[in-house]
Amino acid sequence: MSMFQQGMMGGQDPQAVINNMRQFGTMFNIVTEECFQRCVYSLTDSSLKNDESKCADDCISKNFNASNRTMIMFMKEKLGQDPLTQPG
Amino acid sequence: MAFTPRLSSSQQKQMEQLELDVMQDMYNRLSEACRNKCISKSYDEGELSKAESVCLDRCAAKYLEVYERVGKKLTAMYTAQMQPPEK
Repeated sequence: MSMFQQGMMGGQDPQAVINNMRQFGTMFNIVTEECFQRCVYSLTDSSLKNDESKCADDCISKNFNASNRTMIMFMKEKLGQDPLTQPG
Repeated sequence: MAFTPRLSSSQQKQMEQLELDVMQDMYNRLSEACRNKCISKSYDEGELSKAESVCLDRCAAKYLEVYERVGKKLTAMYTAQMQPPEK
């Protein structure tokens, strides 16, 4: 089972699911803010320009990949769990 | 979601509150971002200028568009991650 699946399922503990959802929701908002700040520069229109959309997509991917990686490292180093080799 | 374990009613309430909290947080971030982008800090007057008003409208629309993109990207990544690994 992937780290992502484990994280999302919270190991069947309802409280963990709630905590994970909170974490997830916060990350969602942080990424939205970051990618808006960095990528959206023009306010002549109500929808994203092509280059702004591309920037946003790349920004979102990069930030999620970074987040995933950080989480794996954190679990490994701090909690002594390697989510990639943990039995499912 | 099929995999979500059974939540007690107090946990259900927690989930609902959580949704509200997350939405509120998003709103606060949007407000701050658009305030910084659109509102003049010299505060010569209390009314919004036409330019400021239009800016705020567009800013909110764009912020929400970015928000939607995050949702789509996440769903795509989630779906990819949830596929059984090809062994």
